[in-house]
Amino acid sequence: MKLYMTVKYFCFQSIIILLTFLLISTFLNQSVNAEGLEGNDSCFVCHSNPNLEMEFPSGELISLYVDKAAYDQSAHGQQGFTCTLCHTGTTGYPHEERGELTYRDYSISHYPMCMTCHEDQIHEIDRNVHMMALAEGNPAVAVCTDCHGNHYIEIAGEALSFISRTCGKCHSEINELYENSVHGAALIGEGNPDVATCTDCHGAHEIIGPSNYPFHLFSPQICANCHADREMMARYGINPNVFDTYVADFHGKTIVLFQDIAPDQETNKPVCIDCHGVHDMLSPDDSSSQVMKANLLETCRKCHPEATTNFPDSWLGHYNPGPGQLRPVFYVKLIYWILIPVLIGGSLVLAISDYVRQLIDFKRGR
Amino acid sequence: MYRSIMFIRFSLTDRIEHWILAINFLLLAITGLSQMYSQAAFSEWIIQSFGGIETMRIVHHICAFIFILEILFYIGTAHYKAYIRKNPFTITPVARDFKNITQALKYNFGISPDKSSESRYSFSEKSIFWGLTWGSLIMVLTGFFMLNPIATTRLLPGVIIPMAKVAHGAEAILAVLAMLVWHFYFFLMKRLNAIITASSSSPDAAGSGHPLESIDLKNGLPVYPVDKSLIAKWWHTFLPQYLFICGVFLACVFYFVNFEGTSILTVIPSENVTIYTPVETSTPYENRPTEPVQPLTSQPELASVTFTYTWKTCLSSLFLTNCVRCHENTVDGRINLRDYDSVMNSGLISPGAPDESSILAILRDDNHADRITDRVVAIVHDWISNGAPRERNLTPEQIRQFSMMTWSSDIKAILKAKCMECHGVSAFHDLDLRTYYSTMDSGVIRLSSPDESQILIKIGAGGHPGQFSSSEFMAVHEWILNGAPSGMTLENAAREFRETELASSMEFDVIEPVMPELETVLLVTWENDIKAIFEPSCTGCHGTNAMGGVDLSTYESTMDSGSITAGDPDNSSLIIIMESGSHPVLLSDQDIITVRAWIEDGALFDSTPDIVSTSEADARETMDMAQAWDDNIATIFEAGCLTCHGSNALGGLDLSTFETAMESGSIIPGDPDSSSLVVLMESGNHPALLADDALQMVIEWIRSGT
Repeated sequence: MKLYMTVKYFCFQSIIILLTFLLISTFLNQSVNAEGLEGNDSCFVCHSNPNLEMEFPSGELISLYVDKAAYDQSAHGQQGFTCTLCHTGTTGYPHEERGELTYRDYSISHYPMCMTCHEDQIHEIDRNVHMMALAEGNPAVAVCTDCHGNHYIEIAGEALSFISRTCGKCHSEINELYENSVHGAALIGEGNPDVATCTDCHGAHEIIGPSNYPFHLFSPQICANCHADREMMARYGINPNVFDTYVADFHGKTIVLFQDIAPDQETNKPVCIDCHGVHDMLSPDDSSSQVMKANLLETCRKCHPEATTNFPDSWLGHYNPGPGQLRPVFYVKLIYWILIPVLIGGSLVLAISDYVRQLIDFKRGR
Repeated sequence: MYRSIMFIRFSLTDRIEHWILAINFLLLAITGLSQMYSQAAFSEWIIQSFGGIETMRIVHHICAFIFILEILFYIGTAHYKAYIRKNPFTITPVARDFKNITQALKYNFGISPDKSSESRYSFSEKSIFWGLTWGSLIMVLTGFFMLNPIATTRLLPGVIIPMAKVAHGAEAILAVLAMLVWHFYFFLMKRLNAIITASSSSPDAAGSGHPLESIDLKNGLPVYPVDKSLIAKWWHTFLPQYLFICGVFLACVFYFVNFEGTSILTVIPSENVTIYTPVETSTPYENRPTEPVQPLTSQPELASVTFTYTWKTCLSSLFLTNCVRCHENTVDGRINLRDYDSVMNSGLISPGAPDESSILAILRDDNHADRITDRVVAIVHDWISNGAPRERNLTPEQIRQFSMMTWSSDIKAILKAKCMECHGVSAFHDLDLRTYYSTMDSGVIRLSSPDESQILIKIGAGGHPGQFSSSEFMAVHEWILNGAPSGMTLENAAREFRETELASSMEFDVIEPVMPELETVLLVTWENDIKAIFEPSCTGCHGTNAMGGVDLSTYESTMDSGSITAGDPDNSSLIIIMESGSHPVLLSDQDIITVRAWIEDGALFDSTPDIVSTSEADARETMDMAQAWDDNIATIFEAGCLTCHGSNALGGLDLSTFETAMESGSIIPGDPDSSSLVVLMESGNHPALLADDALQMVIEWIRSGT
């Protein structure tokens, strides 16, 4: 009887515990995902309120409003990703306390979240200037969301002009120079997709510091990517030999040799941008271009301060000497083209014939 | 075996000189050609083994320096041999050499049986020697040009440098090829000679290539008489001179090699630009309407420029509004304040001396028929102290600064500070000055005609509650005159407009008076109204899972939750939380008002049979308000407001009767906080202000009119 009571009591107790557990788990589950609402809808119950905002300890006031329609149109929204995919720490309401003191801190602590899906980009951004500066403790660097946005990320590759504007958010002075340059004006003004924008030279994710020597040293090849492309240059009537002629002359020869032999060493020889301008480069036909004939001496003097008026003429202006252009140089070439075969050929005729003769004489026994 | 006679063909110095020259030549050729063909595989290997291109260039230059030294040495020894030792200058080409060439060719090809007859130096050796001399000259000269392009182009045209480069390279190839051909030839010939004679040099062997010389040698070694005094002279006079000239020449060479250091020493100046220059944004807000991205042009410092009111920009409209009603010929002939000339001729104004201008005393005098606001007086005072100018007289610097002013750079900030309190979201008098589009659309701005733009006429007249400072007034004036440029890209302007539209659609409810509907409606009830409000917005959290113990899914659970105190909305926690704005989800203002009304009506579940006509209730309420108007409000307004907002309805506001006051839109029954009349009085921006107790009465009166 006692045993029966114990068993009965135990069963009853088990059932109670089980029921309580079920009840609690159901309740917990519901608090995570409010009843009747699927996926992001439970988030948008609150976050569709345009007046919803929060204050960071720093005093920054942040809107917590997310435009659901715009999110659904975004790259992630189209995939139907849930908010908690990125906001992993947020599981229910009230939300967990977060430790960030500023909005910036929040952005920085959240960017690694992007890498959970975009693994390849870890290696791309690994050594880029922004990440290196971040590692040195500079919080004002661009992380993923600063360029791509957060809730309304667009699929990349549509409008090129957004690239320079995106970089311009932090590099406004450079962007202003760029927008007035021959490339920037063509991109912003004409929407020309051929011209170089920020990422074409600096890279999108693997951004190398432009002040680092490898970037400076190898920059002529960046320019050559387009400017040695005969098909593309033909569209704009631009001389496609610029790279070859650069390499054939003093400056370019040294630069290419350094690239081959000592890529980690500094050289003071100029690359394309040192004469043509960096972000503000203009067409050589532009009267304010640094390489316009009238301005060339001034440009040479940046490195050769004692240069005089004749000096710039020693640069062949990216042209190959020929009967039509740069005749004096062409004639020197021509003279040697004739002189070398004639003299060496004559010598060979004399020497070989003499030797053969003597050999014959010797064999005949003189 | 016969005894061989050893004959020293070349002296020791000749041989040393030859080997130094050979090594030097080899080094020059290797370092030079690997620069010329720098892209070839062998060059890379060579350059690397020299320790890089810069080191190799230094080696090349040192070798060139030694080469020049050798030339100097050669000149000295040649001079000694020729003039002191009286050696015949046998290397000089003579006519026979040319004959010898043809003879040699004829013999070699079996045309002629006779060999050419050569003396000490064969024609081939002579041509090598002179070729080398000519080549050395070219190499030294072109090398100098290339090493010192700046010094060279001071005297010679620039194209000489690329010419020198081509010549230097081609001459080097010529020299190397010639060296290869002839050395190889001589090497083979020597081997052949060795086989032929099987002995070292004998007169015969030496003579095998030089038959005439061997005849000379057989006759005995040539002995040239040496004049002792000449040797002494050479030692005493010529050698010091030679050494001196050599020294000077070397110093010059050394100087030329080193003086042009720019190609080695200069560091390329890098781009002078600040890398991190973030565009200023007011807050990190990204979803809410934000300031459009400011254009990057430098903005004029408004404070640095002083502005003056002029008749044209401001005073004409001020006089027109405030004075002309009485003081024109037609009404009061004594004083005419219609136009600039008559104002100046009236004797009321002494330009530059406000204290002597009687007009100010009159305006300040309470006995003057019309009350003139202090603001107007201040403008007139300013104008007179600046000499009462007719037109603006701007300095070129001011004009430049003004011409740079755009909506986004300056004007928006001014309007935001001074106008948007009324003409912002609440669009007082349907005037919304928040965005460029809405401002231009409103009609208060006439492009390029500031004097005809209502915005300046209204403010210039002095009666408008909000006022610009003189610099702000001038900024807006000049901006309109310049065609009211936006300073924004189309995209930015559109964004600004779009975002503000969004904001309006969200916030308009707050201010827009909620006028009771005039048709008969049922009382607010759970079934008809409240359920529909709570269900989409609240039951997500406060449904059956009852977050915080509040379940708003059914009438019963709602009433049990304790958040509703029937009949007393102000003590219902639901209303308190909603109105505080601190709840994560907020009902719209319209909904809150509905819920409020529902609680006030007793928080009924269903409509009771009694149907109350709201128009009746409304009429009752209106009667209450009208009653109160008659009792005391009218007196308050009469004393404080009617001077401007009486029958002349300044700014379209007529407070003389209850009907006109209610129609003006400045009073929202039941909501004093949104009524622009109260807002304006409380802000203290209005020229005339009600006394506190009077204002309190007005507020109570508005609140009573729910």
